[in-house]
Amino acid sequence: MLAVLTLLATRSELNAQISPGPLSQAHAKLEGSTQCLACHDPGEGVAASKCLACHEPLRKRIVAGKGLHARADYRDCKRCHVEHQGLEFALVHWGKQGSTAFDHSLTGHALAGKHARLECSACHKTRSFLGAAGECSSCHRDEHRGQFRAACSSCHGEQGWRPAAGFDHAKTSWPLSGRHAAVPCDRCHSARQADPERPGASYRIFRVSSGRECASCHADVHKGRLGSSCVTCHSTAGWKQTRMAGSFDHGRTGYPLTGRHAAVACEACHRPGRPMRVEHERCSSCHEDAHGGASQQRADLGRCESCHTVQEFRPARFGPDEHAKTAYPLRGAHLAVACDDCHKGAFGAPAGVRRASSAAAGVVRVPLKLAATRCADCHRDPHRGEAAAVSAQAGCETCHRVEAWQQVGFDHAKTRYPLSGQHARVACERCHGPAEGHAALGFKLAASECASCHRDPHGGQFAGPEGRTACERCHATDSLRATRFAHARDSRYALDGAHARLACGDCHKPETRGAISIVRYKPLPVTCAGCHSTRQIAAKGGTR
Amino acid sequence: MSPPQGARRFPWKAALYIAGLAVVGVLFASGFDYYRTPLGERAHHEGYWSWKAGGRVGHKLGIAGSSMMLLMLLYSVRKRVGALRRAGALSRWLDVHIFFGVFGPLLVVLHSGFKVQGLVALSFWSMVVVASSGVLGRYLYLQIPRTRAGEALALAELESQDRDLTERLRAGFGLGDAELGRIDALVAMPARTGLVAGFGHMLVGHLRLRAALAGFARGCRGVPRPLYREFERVVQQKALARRRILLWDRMHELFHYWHVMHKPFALVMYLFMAVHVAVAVMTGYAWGSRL
Repeated sequence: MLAVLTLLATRSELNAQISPGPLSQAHAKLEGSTQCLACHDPGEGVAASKCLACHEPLRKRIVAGKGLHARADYRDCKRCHVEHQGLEFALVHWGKQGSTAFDHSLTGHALAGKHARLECSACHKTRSFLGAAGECSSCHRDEHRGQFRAACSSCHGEQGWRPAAGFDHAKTSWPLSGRHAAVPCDRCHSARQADPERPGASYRIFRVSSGRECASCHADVHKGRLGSSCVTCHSTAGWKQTRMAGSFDHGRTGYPLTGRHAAVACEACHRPGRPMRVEHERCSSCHEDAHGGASQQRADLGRCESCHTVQEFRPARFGPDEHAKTAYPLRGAHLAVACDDCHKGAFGAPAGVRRASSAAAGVVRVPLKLAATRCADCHRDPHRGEAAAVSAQAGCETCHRVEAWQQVGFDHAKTRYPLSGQHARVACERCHGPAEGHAALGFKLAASECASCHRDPHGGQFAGPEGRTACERCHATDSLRATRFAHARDSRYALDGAHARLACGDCHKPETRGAISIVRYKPLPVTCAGCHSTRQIAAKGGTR
Repeated sequence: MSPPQGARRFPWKAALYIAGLAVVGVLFASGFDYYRTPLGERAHHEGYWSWKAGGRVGHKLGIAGSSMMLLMLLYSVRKRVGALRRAGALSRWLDVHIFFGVFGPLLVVLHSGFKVQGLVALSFWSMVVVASSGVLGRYLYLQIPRTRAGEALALAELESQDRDLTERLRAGFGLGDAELGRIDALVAMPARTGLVAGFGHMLVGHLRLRAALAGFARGCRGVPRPLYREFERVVQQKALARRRILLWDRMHELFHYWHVMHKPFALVMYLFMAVHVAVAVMTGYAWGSRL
């Protein structure tokens, strides 16, 4: 009772006794039994409206629908901020796992990346946790010093300042493509500007208004020969990924393309993956030497253009005049022979092929120096070796002329059968027989008798006992007429008198002997009665 | 209509106490984890909003406990208002008074969450004193023989009852003066015993007497075996009547002083409970408040 009376007498002590416990430090000014209704409402208990009457900034955020406390399940202040637990009691309780486990997304501002690992105090400078604006600039300094108007988050993510994963260079006035897209930012944006607000500091210049020409970053390997517009030929896909076909004027290079070169695919010379610059001082830079280096012994050291042009490899400009300077001047019919009839090309893939495509297609190898210059090296012997003995001494030219095969210089008189008379005018084939061309022309005849060529029109009337007819006794080679026949000498019946004026046919009558028609020369009667009648004989007084 | 002789009556009182203790036990077990949590950490306990004094459960425990203690006052009203003399036996009202006096404070203890501070602590500790004194008062109450209705017996009535029991032992069980004298000797106490010493003697003697009487009964060989239980009960009643006669003056004096202690503490308890309830209602913890 005494204690009760003491309490009742001491009003302040009584006030303190009404409270279920001391208020926290933050609300200590509300301590005292007369201030209960500052927070408590008879109808609602600890009403949020009473809290927000003091916590005006928080009330405004709730009204604006911002922050954790705007959420429906966070409107009842006392649920989290328990009071009357003592002066040192923390009004904000983060749970067993502490503030780091707080789901910041409940505030409407989810934390991710590096933000999620920050201490609360890194952003929230006040005990109320208010005042931390969502804008990056509220915590971060603008590293670009106003170069960009877009929000930081449009380029940078919460994972880190670098890389600026959200930045899309394609949306700028200078879209990156091809190899440009892989170039680190600072390779192009290397320029820095001194920060006027922070001595010694600088920031990188990203907004580039000039210097967008290729040459501002790339060295001109063409030394200005091809102009300043690199993109005419090159793209950002790669220096070697050119697009010259069709549009590139090769004439502006050190090697204008003419002739067949103009139709060659770019890749045939500018091999993919190889340097664009191609050695072109000598043809052999690209072309395989079809002559196997034989031309290099010449005075011009085998320069291809001495004989060939870019129009075609064949025909070469190496004509008869040039050939005349060689060890084998061309004469006669040889002048009309195509080069490769002698210098026969052969396909092959010799060692040292310079171009893969040439290897695949094969390379024509054209020998310049022939191993031999004998006729037989080129020409087939149509005489089957019958003239070997002759040609062994002076070659084919013993008989033939280089002007033409047919212009034969053969002296038949030197043979066992000199030609005379009409024989001299007879074509060789008439005697030596026709053959397939001249390939099988035989010279050595088995017989040189007239009958071997001529048919006996006399039906063997003049054959000797051995059966041979000696035509030459009557006939010469100049005519078929029996110019050598003397009737008085060569027959047993000399002609005289009227007989000498008679025509041959008056006595030598045609007759058919067997299947042939002949003129009968003998035997004829040599008596008068053999031709004349008795009356005629009588009239003439003859007696023979 | 009274129940038939020999039929066992349902032990309503025991059942109610068992049920009440069960409810209190379940509540205590449910809130045990919260109750054993240090005070400074309870606000972070998951059961805080249920088991704290103003919580969903704790608040109702407070209302129930305080309501029970208010209902205890009905006994005083019944005892003092003559118009209610016919409203049931006074002993029944006392049973109700004691029942609420046991469970009301227990519920209030759970309501407090074993956290007693501030003004309501006065009420709380007053309640503890009042409840504890109630246990003592109940004991003293039993030491004063009463009618079935609960009215105290006069000393003459008590002596008459003693004589009846003496005659019954003498006639019914054949006890002589010597044996009866031994019973009187067992309950005898110094003639000039003070109030407090007499109370202490009574408490100690109460415990010793049961064993002494049992020994005495076993020493009486002439009692037939079937009547031994009855004999033992009558011996106990005789000894109890005898001691009550001896302590009659002291018990009445002691009971008077008990009232002097019990009532002021009860008054303090009710006073500060009223203040506590008023503050609670004023600060938003009224019945039906959104807690």
